[in-house]
Amino acid sequence: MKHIGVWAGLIIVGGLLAGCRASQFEQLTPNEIISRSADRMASLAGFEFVIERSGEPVFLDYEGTISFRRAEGKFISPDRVYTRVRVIMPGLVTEVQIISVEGIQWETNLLTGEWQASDPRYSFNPSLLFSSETGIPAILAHELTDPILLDDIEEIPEVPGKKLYALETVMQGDSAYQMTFGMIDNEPLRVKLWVDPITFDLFRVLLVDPANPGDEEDTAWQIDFWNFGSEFEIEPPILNN
Amino acid sequence: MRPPKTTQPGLLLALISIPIFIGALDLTVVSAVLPHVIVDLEIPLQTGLDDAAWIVTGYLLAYSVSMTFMGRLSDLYGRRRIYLIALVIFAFGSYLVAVAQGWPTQLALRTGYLFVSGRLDASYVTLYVLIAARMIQAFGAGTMVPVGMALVADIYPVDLRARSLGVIAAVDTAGWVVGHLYGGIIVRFWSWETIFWLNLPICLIAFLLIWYLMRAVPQVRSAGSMDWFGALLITVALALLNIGLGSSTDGVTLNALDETSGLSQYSFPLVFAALTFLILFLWRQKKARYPLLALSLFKRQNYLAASLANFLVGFSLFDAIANVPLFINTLVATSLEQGAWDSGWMLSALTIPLALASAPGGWLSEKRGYRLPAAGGLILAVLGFLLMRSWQPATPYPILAYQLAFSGIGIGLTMAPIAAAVVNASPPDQRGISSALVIIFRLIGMTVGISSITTYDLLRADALSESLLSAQPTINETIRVGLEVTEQVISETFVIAGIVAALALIPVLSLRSTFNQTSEVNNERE
Repeated sequence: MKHIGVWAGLIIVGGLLAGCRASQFEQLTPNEIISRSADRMASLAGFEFVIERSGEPVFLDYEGTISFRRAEGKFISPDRVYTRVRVIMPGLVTEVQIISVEGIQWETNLLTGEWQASDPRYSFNPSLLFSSETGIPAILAHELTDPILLDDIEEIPEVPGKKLYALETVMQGDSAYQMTFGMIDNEPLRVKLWVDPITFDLFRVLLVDPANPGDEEDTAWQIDFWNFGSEFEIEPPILNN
Repeated sequence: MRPPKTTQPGLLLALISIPIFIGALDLTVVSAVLPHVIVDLEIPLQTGLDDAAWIVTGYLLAYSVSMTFMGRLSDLYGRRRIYLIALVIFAFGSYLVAVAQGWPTQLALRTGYLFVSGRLDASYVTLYVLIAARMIQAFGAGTMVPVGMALVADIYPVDLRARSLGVIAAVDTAGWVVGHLYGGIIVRFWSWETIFWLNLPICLIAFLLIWYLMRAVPQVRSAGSMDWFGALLITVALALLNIGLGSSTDGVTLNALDETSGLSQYSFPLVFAALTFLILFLWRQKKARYPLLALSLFKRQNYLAASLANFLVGFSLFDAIANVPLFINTLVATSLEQGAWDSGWMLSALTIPLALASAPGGWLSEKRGYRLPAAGGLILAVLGFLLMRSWQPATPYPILAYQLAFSGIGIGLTMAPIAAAVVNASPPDQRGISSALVIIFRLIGMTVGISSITTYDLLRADALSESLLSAQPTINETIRVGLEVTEQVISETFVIAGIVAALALIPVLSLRSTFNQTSEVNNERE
């Protein structure tokens, strides 16, 4: 019985600490958080990102043989991107590097690693993803409907100790469809966002594309960002020929 | 529960042999299923192949490293105890391999994020977890070979000891001979993880039986101490050698940004450092009061020549073991399952004749001396490798099989004479370590073989692709050139295997043909 007082004290202190932590952040509506996050992203000089697809495969070619798995890279505002894209082919996993500079795109050959001009039929254009007019910042600013701020401030395993706003919302698929060359369906998507309560940096976006008839599962797209505001050097590659 | 007063030595030999067989099985089991594992882990071919090769190399490395000093540890702390610990290590490693994609990867990721601010690639984290798990497994498996041999030597009287040591060596060989076939069969019906789950009940039963039945066997413990410094030096030397030989491919096809230049620039310094540590190890063994290895044995001509020949035979043998699955998976098979299945059977055309030919090789060496069967076998092996040079995707399987059998018979004929030359050149009290050394030298040859052949394959493929592709290749052209290049590179590596096997003729021809082992040792003593 004598321990009850100790436990009660600990719970009260814990509650007070939690209250203090919650109150240190500005009281904002979900729309304000998203709006500030969109502005922040559009203002950044650069950042690093990784896009991971899980669940139902998404194919890059009409024949349905090359499926997108992952892309990791660096972005410099307004239109320079270096990306390493991992694709899965029958019995083979392979990577292609892509550089986009001012709308022109190059990629490495699957065999030699030598740079060559991109084949437009198979291209994945990462610069469109981060364009302030049509990419993620624009989607954040204009396309999300009825966002909800989840009760708990959340942590993601990749950034231990960092507390983030977690928001849930829905977006129409049109913009995502355009931005990803049809990899994401032209239908409403479930969206979850993780935003830094102090800087409003967007740490993570999770898009869930519901399964189409015949699919076994939903397709989930997780996009992570870090190194906010960093400046990198991304120049057109030197071509051998 | 009281232990039985006497347990049949034959039963104990069988019990000791089973985990050794499983451990050796796991040495080659991955060679047929590696493409399956690489795709399952989503490891990209260009940047991940040399890392993925460590699933095989890491096992070979830890297996040979543990064999060099764990036998000595069992002399000091009791063979039964060390054998059982090794069995637990092997079983734990097998479990970690089987669950590598689950909690070990999550744990590694969470730990990694305490130190890394970016994002880790989960595929690579799983690969590194898998390699570490395979090395844990191999450390246990490798330990069981010399300790098992020493246990057998304790159980059997002197006159039956050589034969029982031969059984352990044969069981070890049989394990890696059928490993790829076993792997191919398993992945035809189940996942590749099943291979490792199956180890667990076998290890558990073996542990309980050995723990119980060997309680009555007196535990011999030697005086002296463990040369931990020597063990560290040989471990570092072998690890650096493998990293150095394998690292020269890092950076191939990654010439886009400076940060991806990899370890290639360190290849030569790493190999140089490995040789330095090897020299330090030899110096240490000369000075140590209780060395791991009696260097004086290498003063015997047959001992040195046979060890060198064994190293070269191991190199050329693993060239074939690595390239046959690569040929079938890339150029012939239409699915990963078919690739694993066909590779398993096709490698059997190499390894089963190899195992069968070792018996006549032993008989011939008793009748005609070491030199004739070993040299004859090497010539056959060279011819087989040269025939394999002409392989094409359309070559029928029976043709591939008979050419592989040619090399298999050749290498098989060399096994017994080389092993006998080493063991017979040893004084009776050194025959245990000498039997282990026969395996160690072959394993080191295999390890160096796979590191350098992987390096050669990737560098050569890169160079050939660059010369054959047009300036703006289409995907179809890229795939066509990729297949042509793979065929060409595999053909060249078979030639390399033939050259290395031919080089082994030099030490083999220097073997002194001796018919009586006792007289050889006695002559040298005189």
